[in-house]
Amino acid sequence: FFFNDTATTEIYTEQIVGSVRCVQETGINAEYMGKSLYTQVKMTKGYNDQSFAGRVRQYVVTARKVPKNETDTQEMYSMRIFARSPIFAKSQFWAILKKQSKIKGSAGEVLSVVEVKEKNSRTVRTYGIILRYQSRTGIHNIYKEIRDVSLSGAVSQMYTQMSGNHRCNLKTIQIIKTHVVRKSDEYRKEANKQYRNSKISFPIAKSRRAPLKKYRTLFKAYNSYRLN
Amino acid sequence: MCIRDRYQRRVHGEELKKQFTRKKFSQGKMATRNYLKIGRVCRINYGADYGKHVVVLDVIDSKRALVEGPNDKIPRQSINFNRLTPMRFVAKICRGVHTGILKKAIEKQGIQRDIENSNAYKRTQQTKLRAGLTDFERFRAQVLRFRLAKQARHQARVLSRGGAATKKLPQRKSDSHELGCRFEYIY
Repeated sequence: FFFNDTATTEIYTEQIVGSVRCVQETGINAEYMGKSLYTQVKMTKGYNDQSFAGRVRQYVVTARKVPKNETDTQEMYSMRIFARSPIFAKSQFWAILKKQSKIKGSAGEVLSVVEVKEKNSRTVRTYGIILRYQSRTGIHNIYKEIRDVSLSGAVSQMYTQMSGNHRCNLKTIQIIKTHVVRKSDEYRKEANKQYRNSKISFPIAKSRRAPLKKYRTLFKAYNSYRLN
Repeated sequence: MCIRDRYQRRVHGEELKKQFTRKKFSQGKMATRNYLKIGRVCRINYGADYGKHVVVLDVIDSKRALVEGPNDKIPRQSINFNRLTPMRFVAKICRGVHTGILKKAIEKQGIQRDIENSNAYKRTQQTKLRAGLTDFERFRAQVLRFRLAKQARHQARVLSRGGAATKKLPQRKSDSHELGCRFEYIY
């Protein structure tokens, strides 16, 4: 539906708040008012929506089948899901639950979606992730060891790696198990073992580039940026 | 090389030669790198925290390090190696130490002092100073520069005619530092 008159912003924000994400910028331009509500929602979604971050988060989704009446009790299912936003988490939850039980999303109710935040993101850990993915030719299990500061960070890396190396996206991957690799003999990838060394010492490439993205240019009067 | 350096070289030749070859113009300096290791103090060379200093606490993987810069209020975070320029000093810390211990170590080992004595830091301070100069201050700096250049040219002419150089120039208190001059301009 269309707004044709350039009325004050307060009226429209109040109408929007209940149903969709509230528009963050207070001064909405008059020209926005002329566009449809759908376009408005699309425009605001890009700024704040978690799903655009690209970073995978960990959620615990709890749901059950809708009870028939007040006395009926239904079993609750709780699952740990890695997804980009709570909406995707719920969707993934029902997709997996449907395979394991007779409950469909339409017949169920989600009781809670809680994001699990990393308790300690100040130390580096090696995460071992066992996952199952669908390739073009079949279904395989993979074990990945990823070093990161948090589990969700490691899983984000894993998804990026999987899409790059195996051409599979989020939907074709199911995480079976995640754990922290602690002992040296638990490591399965040699490459990650080297980071356990506290005396690690290596040179890094000198980066010659503009200090901020906005100072990047294609052409420059002199040969290279001065080394810091 | 600025006029002052050229003048200095002409006049104080031999001693300066030794000084310069040891520090700035030695062959070895270009080849040596400051290796990244736990405790290495680095300067951030890209992004919002440009110019600030951090200490490497841990190496995450082949591309990232876990750093923290309590003095510059940089919280503990992972940062790409591309954004770091390792400096010449290393803080003696254990891997992944707590912020409190890191702060103490920095204080005890005088890391902040080392940073402030480093050329890179001095240059950034000078740049900031110069950027904030008023037009009159810039004019004053120019006057000093021209004066020195005149002195240098005069001395060069004297030397080329076979005369003796004036090793000691008349000293006058100059305001060269507040005008962002790197070296003390005499006269």
